[in-house]
Order: sequence, then C-alpha cells, then structure tokens
Amino acid sequence: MNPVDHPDNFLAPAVWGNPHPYFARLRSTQPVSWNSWWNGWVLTRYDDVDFILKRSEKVSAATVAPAMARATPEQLERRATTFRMLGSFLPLNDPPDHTRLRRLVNKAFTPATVARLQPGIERRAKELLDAVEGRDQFEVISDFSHPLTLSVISEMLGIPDEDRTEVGTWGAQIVPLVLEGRDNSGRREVAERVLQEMEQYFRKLLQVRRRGPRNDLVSALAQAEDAGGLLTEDEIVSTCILLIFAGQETTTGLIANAVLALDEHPDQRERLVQQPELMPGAVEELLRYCGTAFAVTRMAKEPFRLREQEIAAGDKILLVLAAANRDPERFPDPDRLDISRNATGHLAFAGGVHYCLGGPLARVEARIGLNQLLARYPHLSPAPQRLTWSDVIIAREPASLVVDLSGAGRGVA
Amino acid sequence: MSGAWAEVDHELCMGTAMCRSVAPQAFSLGDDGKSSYVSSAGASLDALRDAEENCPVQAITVHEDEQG
Repeated sequence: MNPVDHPDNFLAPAVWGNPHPYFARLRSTQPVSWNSWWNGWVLTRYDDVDFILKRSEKVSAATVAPAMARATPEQLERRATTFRMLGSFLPLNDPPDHTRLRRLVNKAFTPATVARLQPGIERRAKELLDAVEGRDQFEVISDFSHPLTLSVISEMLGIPDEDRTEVGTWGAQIVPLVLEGRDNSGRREVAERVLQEMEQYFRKLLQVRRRGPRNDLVSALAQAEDAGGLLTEDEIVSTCILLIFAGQETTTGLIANAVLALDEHPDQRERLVQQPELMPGAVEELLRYCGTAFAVTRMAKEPFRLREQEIAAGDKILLVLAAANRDPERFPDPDRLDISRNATGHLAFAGGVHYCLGGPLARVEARIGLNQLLARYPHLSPAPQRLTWSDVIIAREPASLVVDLSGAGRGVA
Repeated sequence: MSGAWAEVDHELCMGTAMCRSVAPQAFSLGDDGKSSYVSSAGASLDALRDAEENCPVQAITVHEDEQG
C-alpha cells in the first residue's frame, strides 16, 4: 500500500478533517484527475459523477471478481468467506445479477412501505431520548442514532430482541474493509472472522424462519429462495448481511453529521426548531451538504474519454459524491447549508441502478430522529472535544459526537 | 393491452431502471440516463402499477384513463 504521507492521500488527517477545500480545488482545476495514492481516477464535478453513475454499460461496480483474480491461492482460502459474501453484495454487482437480487428486496424499502414503519421509529426515538433525560451530555451515535437505526433494520429483518446487541457490533467491524479503509493492520482478518459469524447467524435464522415464517424480511427471503431457484442461498445470506450493515452504518452517521452542520448554521437550526414541518426539505439539504456516503468506486469496462482524459479499461474510478453535491454549477453557494434550497437531484444516495435501496428509509429515520432531538433539546450543541473522522474513503462521519444538552457547549476542535 | 399509461417525472428520476426491470416494454432509458414512458403495448396495468410501486424516488404516476 502507498505511504500515508503521499501528497494524494486525502485521508491524511490534515485533509480529511475538512476535505471540501481539497476537492473544491480538484473540481475547478482537474475535475478528472489521476490519484496515484489511490491508484485511480478521481471525479469531482456533478455532471461527470452523475453521468458515470448512470452508465452501467461503461463502468462496473463488481470489484470482487477482479480482486479474486489478483489473489494468491493462499489468500483465496484465507479470505474465502469475504469473497463469497461480498461477491453477492448488491452494491458490488452489475446487471443482470444486480437486477435479479434487487427486485427481491426493493419493495421492502419503497417510500410507501417505509411510511408504515413511521410510528415504530417515532416510538423508538422517544424511548432513546427518554433514557438520557436529565443528563447534561450524551453521545449522539451510541446513545441515539445507532440504537435507533439498529432497532429499525432489526425489526424489518426480524432479528430477535435478544440478539440485537451482538448483531449491532458486527457492522463497525467490517467497515474498514467494506468501505475502503487504508489502515491495513488486520482489517481483512477481522472482516473475514466477523463475516463468518454473520453468515452462520443468518443461515440459522433463515432456517428458523423457513420452518415458521413471520411477517419479516428474512422470512420473505427464505420463501423467495424456496419458491423459484432464482437465488442461491449464498446470495440470500449475503443480502441479509448487506441490509443489516447498510441499515445501520449510513443513517447513524447522517444524524451525527447533521447535528454538526446545524451547529455551524445556527440560523438554519433555529428555523427548524420553530418550523419542524420544514424537516423533509431540510433532510434533503443535509444529505447534499453532509450525507454519510462520501464516494463510490467503479471500474471502467471499456476505454473512454472524459474531459480530455483517456480512461483505460480496468481503471478504477472514484466518484466523489460529496464533491459533486457541492458543485457550484449545480448548487449555487454550495458550502452554505440552506434548508429552503431545492436540493433535489443531490447524489448523496448515488444514482443509476445502484441508487441507494434504503434511501426512503434513511429519509424517514433522519426526519424523525432530528425532529425529536431538536424538539426535546433546542439548545443542544457539541461539547468541547476533538472529533475523529471515520478513516475510510466511502463514508465520512465522526467516530463519536458528545453533545451538551443545555447549550453551554460549542467546542468542536 | 390496457388503457392505462404512465408518466415519469424527470426532476425526480435518478435512473435506477427499476421500472425497466419490471416493465421493460413500457419504459426506456434516454441518453441522460433517465427513464421515459414509451408505450403500454405489451405491459399490463399490473406491470405499470408494479413499476410505480417499485420506483425508489416515486417518479412514476400511472393513469388509468385512455390517453397518453
């Protein structure tokens, strides 16, 4: 792996602490630039990112097969579960496999289906805030946003209550592998072990639900497998792993990022406190301004030209969603959070065939979570602390965020 | 053949192509990567409703009258 002090290393703390100026410079000077640290092309303009997202015939999301082709027989054996499970991950597959898998779970996440989950999400958010009532401080992620998203996705999948604490520890352990961390100290070994645990768990749960189906997603997946032979058991287990992972790791970070963004823009926060009905539009703007998904990776299937650059077949391409979302050509005055802006068309959920399956769920969770936080603690603000940002390319969120409930805080370093 | 037809809101469409996968005869993707309604010939009302329901950004509206 390339050295940490490489000039193109945008995960270096000096850049990653606030990466927007770095990517703004790239966007205006070299919108399609070769990054020799990451060893691929970095795209930062809205039009280019949007264009490539919608060209699944030109670029591939299936990065597992090429990685397997490069691996030694010994690596293939040592990382067998990782390759098998990630090989069937929806975001890492191209059509037609992708289409077949996605159709199976798509309906569970449409806006209409997700709207029915609203009362349960509201109840859970209230319980979590009741539990910290009377304290001076709490930690947004571990006390609120993570337990909230964990219980929502667990409820959907049908994970028994008594398993949820353990299930909730898995996601964070595979983040460094799945979301492209660069610290190699053991991330592959940890992910292999945790993916084995996850695989065993879901195989067992699928069996249980096959014998006694309930009204949950794991039962629906078990039945779909039995009904058609359209899906392999590996694909179904992999999809369960993906859903429990993506269902937590994304919106959890969005809520924390939003608390920080609203603290930087107190006038916008005040408007939301006064007019909670503005929340749906505000969540779109927060997704644009500070959505968790920072970038997505693709690989060129064929050579093509983009802004005078020759992209070769097999080249890696990083689509920087966060940079596209702050392209002034698309969103005027992009570094300002403006909850009344029309943020429609933002790429926080990517686009094209891989447009985030859970987008409608993320929206509802964020609306409810943020509205309840602001209703209960209108003066909430970050306590004095030094933030540590997730050390991965695909997602950017603080590792933890302590807030003062009285409004005495204001101290992010 | 049904009398129904569909509309795609291009402001909302993110080119996920879910409609193409459930009702391939009724929708096509343009050069901008966005979906357009082409014809309901060969697509049942059920297929159109399925496309409407499966769209993750609710960009599709199905009409059951005879125009379009």
